Amino acid sequence: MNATPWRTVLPVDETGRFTREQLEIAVNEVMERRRAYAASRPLVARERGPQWGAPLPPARPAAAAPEPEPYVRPRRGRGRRRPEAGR
Amino acid sequence: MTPDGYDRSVFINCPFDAEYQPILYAMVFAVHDCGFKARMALEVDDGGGVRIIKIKRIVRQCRYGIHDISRVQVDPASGLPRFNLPLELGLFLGAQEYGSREQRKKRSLVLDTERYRYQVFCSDLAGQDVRAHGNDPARAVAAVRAMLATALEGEAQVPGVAAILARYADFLAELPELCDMLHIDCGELQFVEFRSLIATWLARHPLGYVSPGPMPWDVYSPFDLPPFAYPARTPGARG
Repeated sequence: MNATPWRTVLPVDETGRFTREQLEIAVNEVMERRRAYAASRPLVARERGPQWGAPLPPARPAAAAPEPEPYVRPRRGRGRRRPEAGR
Repeated sequence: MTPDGYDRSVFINCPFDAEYQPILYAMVFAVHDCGFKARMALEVDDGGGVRIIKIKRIVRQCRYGIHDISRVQVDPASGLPRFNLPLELGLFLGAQEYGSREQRKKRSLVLDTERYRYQVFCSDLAGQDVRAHGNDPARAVAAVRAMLATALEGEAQVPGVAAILARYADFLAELPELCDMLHIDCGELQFVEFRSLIATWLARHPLGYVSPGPMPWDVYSPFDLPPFAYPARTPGARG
């Protein structure tokens, strides 16, 4: 025996067995559950969907920097004088 | 005398096979999202009374009709085509032609997979608004939306196609959870239950509601839902 009162959105013969209260409770609860889950996530994650924010793959170690080469002073030709030196 | 809700009722006359279900689900949602109420022969599959009388009652109560005549192939089991859809289309057009002043306000949308294919098998439909959906639910929604946008002498305000489809995707994402809450399997949903669920969902998700987006546990894409339960044909199903 169904003791639930038939207070329905539509006439009883059109609503199947669910009452208006049952439907509203289900819709509200699912809506609140999803909103609560979304609110617990960072804003950017919410905007970009559930896949965003997944752990990144492990970073590869950076390649070792090449050893700096010593600066080699350019050689000046023998006997050449700097032009600004005058006579 | 105008039946209650006549101006806002849409009679959906379409196939019920599993292959057609995604289009049917989408159209039922679109009708409700546009502010109208979907009516179908599935409402009367309760085993009692004469089915055609109940269908005629629904036709009388609906100002708008959506008729999909795309299933013209023969039934593999019987080797014969089924004629329920053209029969109900004829009932609707007859009411529009010979009915009372209110009944003559009826408007129909005829759907097929291809636009001009009906000229081969039902050429007398020429002059009706026949649109093609190409077995694509989104195109069917667009056709329904286009018809309802001009309903009520242009007074109906309906959302755009993209908005309807986005909300439909949100609804379908929540549907498994809703069914869990109601202790029912999605495949057991009858048309009247599905429709009530849509109406309740839309009331709590008005246009402009910002969806929190997809959840990691969402399982359904919009087009892989199980078909409605058919109480008259499925022994043991609720109804």
